[in-house]
Amino acid sequence: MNKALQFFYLESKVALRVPMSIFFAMIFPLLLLCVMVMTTKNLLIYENFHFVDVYIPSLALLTLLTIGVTSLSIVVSVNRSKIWQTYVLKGLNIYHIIFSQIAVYLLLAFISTLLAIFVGHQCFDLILPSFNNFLMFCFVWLLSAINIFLLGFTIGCLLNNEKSAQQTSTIIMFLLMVFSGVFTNIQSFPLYVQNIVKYLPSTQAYYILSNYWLNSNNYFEVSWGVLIIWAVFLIGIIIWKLKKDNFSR
Amino acid sequence: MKRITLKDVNFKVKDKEILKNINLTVNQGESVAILGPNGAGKTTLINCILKLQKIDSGEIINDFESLPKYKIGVHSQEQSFYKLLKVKEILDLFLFEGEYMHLVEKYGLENNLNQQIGELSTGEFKKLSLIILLENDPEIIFIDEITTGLDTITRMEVLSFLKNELKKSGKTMIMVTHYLEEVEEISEKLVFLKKGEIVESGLKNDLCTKYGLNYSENNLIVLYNQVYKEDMK
Repeated sequence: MNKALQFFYLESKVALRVPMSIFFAMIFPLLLLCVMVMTTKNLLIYENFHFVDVYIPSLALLTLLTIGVTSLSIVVSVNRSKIWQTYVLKGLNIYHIIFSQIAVYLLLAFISTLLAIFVGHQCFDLILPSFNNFLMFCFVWLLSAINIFLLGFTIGCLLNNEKSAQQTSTIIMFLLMVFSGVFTNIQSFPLYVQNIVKYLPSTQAYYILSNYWLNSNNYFEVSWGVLIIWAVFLIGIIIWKLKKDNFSR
Repeated sequence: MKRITLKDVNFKVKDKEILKNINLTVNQGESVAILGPNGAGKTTLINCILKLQKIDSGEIINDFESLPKYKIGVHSQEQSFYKLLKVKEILDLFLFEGEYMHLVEKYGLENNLNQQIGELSTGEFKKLSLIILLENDPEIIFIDEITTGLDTITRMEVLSFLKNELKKSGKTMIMVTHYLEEVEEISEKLVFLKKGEIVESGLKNDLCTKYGLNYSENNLIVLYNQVYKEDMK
């Protein structure tokens, strides 16, 4: 088997052997969905969209932020200095390790979101978008996930221990949540804050995901360019840091 | 013949000099032990040769660098694998499937194959590391304190295994150790480091002669004490 695939397979096994990571990646978002929908009695928000319909894009983003920013950054900071160094010295390619690490967490988040959609549809009459919109939703989800996971990866690369990665990533995750528009309407912020937060990948991700899921055009100015620029910027930082740490020699 | 040559190598962390004007040559087939008290720069020296740390000045010419990675065996002090992986999974990742069983049996790890790495004892983990280190038949081996934390019997087993492997194939080896019996068993050439500088180096016999000693394990201790006599006071 190709080494990269073999390593990806092993990474998946490792992730699945941690009960807490399974709980927070798979079970917790579902519990959150059920609690939120039942607490609000799935009230009608507008047209024929109920709370559950509006909540799915939010939940997709929240899952990405918790798995991508917090969990991934901690795993990277813990493994980078000792375990990766050992693997690289044993002949594994550092980029295969990175690919596997990100891909496993991406897969967890994807399964989690699909499960939430399935449960929402089966239990709370979630309205599914048209096939084209669903495909676009998946595509934007993937692009957003890559951005957010790269951000988590960058935090893990820049910080050298679990404690500082945990603290930093939690602060960043909450800031991204607060300014994403999930909890608070962006329009309620002062204009200069609005002008800043529209360049955050999580904010763009949330509004683009909502637009495709609810088939609506939001007042918010969406820009795919922001997601692409962030991805390129973060990849640049990661490559620089890995070279600095003498991984890619 | 391949060799590793270090010319006037210097390495600093912030303003602290960790390695100072290191000049050293390791020829193919030689087994070199790097000795010295804690903080002498032994691990850093190996890390610099492996390019895990960038030197500030000087030159390192490593003819073994062009070899494929699996032909360069490294056992670092902080070697670590995912604790949740099973022994078999890690062996399959680094070695050719099925070809490691003779070593697994030789080391008595056949009952540990389905055990997770985190559940292994220190001795079992070191044995696993050795299997991974040696199974691919590396041309050069870098070993950093491989027997630290092992009980006497396991240490003897590991040493005798390493010795046999080296004799059998004429591998080149650079080893960092605190134990003089390891030096006695395995290495011909000694490099004594002190505060980042090589204070003495040469073949075991030559060094003993230089210090007026007959070569024996006991005299290696005397030799060590002679080299570091100022620190012993």
